[in-house]
Parts: sequence; C-alpha cells; structure tokens
Amino acid sequence: MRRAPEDPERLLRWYPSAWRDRYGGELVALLEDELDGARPTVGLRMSLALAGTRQRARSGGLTGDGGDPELRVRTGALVVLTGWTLVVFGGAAFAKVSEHFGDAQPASAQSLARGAFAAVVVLAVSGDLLVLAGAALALPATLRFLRSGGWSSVRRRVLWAAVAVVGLVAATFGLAKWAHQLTVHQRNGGDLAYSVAFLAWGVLAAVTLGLVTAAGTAIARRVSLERPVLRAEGALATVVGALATALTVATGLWWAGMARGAPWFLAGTRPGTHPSPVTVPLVFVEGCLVLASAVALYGAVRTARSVSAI
Amino acid sequence: MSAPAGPALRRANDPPLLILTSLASGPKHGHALAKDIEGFAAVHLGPGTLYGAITRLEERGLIEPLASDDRRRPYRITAAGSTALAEAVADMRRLADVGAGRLGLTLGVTG
Repeated sequence: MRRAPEDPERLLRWYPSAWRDRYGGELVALLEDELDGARPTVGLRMSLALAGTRQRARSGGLTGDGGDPELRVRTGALVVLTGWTLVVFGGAAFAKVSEHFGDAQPASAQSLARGAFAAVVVLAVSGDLLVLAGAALALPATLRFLRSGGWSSVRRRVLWAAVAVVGLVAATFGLAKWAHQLTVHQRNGGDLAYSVAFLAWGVLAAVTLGLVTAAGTAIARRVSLERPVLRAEGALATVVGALATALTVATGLWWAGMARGAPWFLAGTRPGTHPSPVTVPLVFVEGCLVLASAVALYGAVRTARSVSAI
Repeated sequence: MSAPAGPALRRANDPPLLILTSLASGPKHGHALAKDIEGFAAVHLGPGTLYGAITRLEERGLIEPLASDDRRRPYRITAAGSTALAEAVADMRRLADVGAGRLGLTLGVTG
C-alpha cells in the first residue's frame, strides 16, 4: 500500500516560527520542485532538521555574529547561568567526594590539596554571589514584567520549579534526619537503602536545578533590560564564566594533590596503600565540571565579544 | 546594518560565494539557483543549506528579494554583494595565478 506524500511544511518544524513566516513559503516551493511528488529521503529530513536547528540557534543569539548584539549578550549570559547551574551540581558532588579529606592525609602532603580546596570554596562562593548580584540587578525589570501581565507566560514553569524546590527541601530534611541515625560507614555505601535514597535525592536535586534554571531563563528571555543593566549583566556573566573554569581547574589540582599525597582516600582503601587515584565518582565529578565550565566559558566568550557593541 | 563580507567568502565552494556567483548573471529563485550552481560548480546545495546561506546573505545586505506574486521569490545581488564577490574572485585569482605560475600553467579566461 502506498503511503500518502508527506506535507513539505511539516519538514520545516525545526525552524523558528519567525524564520518560517519569512522564508517558509519559498523553501516549501523549493522542496516541491525538488521532490516532484516523491517522498523526502532520510538524508533530506536530517539535513533540514540540522539546518533548522542551526537557524534556531542563530535566531536565538546562541551562534553566529550577526543580528542584534543585545540578544547575543542576553543569550550569552543565560548560557553562563546554565553552565553555573551545572557547576553547582558538580560542586555538590565534589563536596561529597572530598568530604573529610583533611583527616586522611599526612600533614606534609596536604599543601596542594588544601590550597586547591580553599580556592574551590572561594571561587564557588564568589560565583554564587555574582549570580545573586545578576539576579538582583534584573529584579526591578522582572517585577515590571510580572506586573504588566507577563506572569501568565511563565506561570507554568515557575510553578513546576516551586514544586520541585519544596520537594527537594522536604527530601533534604528527611535524608539528613535519616543520616544522623547512621554510622559513617553506613552513610558511605554500607547501607543499600540509604545509598539508593541518596542517589534519588541527587537526581531530584539535579532536576530541581534544571527546573529553576528553566524558569529563570524563561523569565530572563522575556524581561526587557535597559542597556546599562544589560552591560552589567554581560560583565558579571563574563566573570562567572571565568570563575567556573578556574573552579574546574582547582578541583583538578585537588585531585592531583590527593593522588600524590593520599591516593587511598580517593579509592577508599586502607591508608598507606597505593591504589589508582582514577575512580568512577571523581571521573563523573570532573566530567560534569568540565562540561559545566565549557558551557559557561562559551557563554562568557560570546557575551564578552558582544557587550562592547551595545 | 550589514556586516562586511569577511571570511565567509573565502572558500571557493562556500554556499554564499556560489549563490553570489550565480546571481551575478541575473536574479533567480531557489530552485533555479540550485540548478545553476549544480551546472557551473558541480555542487548540489540541499534546500536547508541553500536557504541557510540565503538568510545570511540577506541579513548582510549582499542579496535582496524581488517582489513576486509567486511563492518562488527571486533574489538579486546588491551593490555590496557585487563588491564582496569581486574581492573574493580577486583573492582566488591571486591564489590561482601563484599556483599556475609554480606549475608552469597558463590560465585561460572563460565566459
């Protein structure tokens, strides 16, 4: 049985709607000319999906140097915010991996790891403060946006984020209460039920961070910022991107310091042994932080390149 | 505001350069562009690639659409587009001259 020819307009669903309004009719006419009644091939579908996604990224200010520099700065700053959210997630995992590391080392081998850990803390606090400063700068414009009827366009995302935050707070209290009843050994993998609950809490924390970031991004994309505020946001985003990269380097130095001075701490083996310092949790943490800093750095570079044009 | 032609017109098989070269002989719509380019450069530009390049060229003011009652809207090269194309062709000519000189070849002129 022959299938009905596919509507060429459906092939353009990857493109942003504003682009479709301008070029969609022409591209559909071209597709009709090229296909001449035949069904589109998989290659053509993939090519259009890729081209549409690229156009979406360009139209949103995520790639390319054309278009509105204010949009590029705003999108770059939001990319940095997304990267910093990943840093927070990776940082929380790093805090767990490095918990009580100072007790496990001989004092003579502590300098690099301790210095790197102190740098991680300073960089993390500095980045968090700058993100809060950015949010405070955007607060007046955000309130104007919400008062002028913008609430309905972001309500769903904000409510989802709020529900997730409430759920995370409740789960955190529950988990902390449970943890107080357990020994150190039970808290660190000795109790299967607690380990599963801790993993579930980590997933919930990641989902909550994602939902809060999505809500913040949805608001930030719609808020109209004055140029001086946008310039300040761009400058803050550039610094936060640099801090994210420095933080990732510092966690790597901590890892190197521990690998040199007390590899048994990283592997969880008996003191004095020399196991491999490359462990699955640390690879996960560093992978997450490298990804986070790459995202933040990309946003920071785009912001820095565009902020002078506004 | 249009951006300078810049490095986007540096490679001979760049879709923007192929489109400008095609439009240098007169206005064309998408399908006619694709066929012409296939004829003179043996390069098939897919619909997504073609319209991605058309979008960028129009944003930079190197081509402009002509009024049309049909969905098949023709485009023509602008003065800025002609200048950018001339610069790119001159760049390629210089490179071709160096290559030909080193190989001892004589370059012909085609219409």
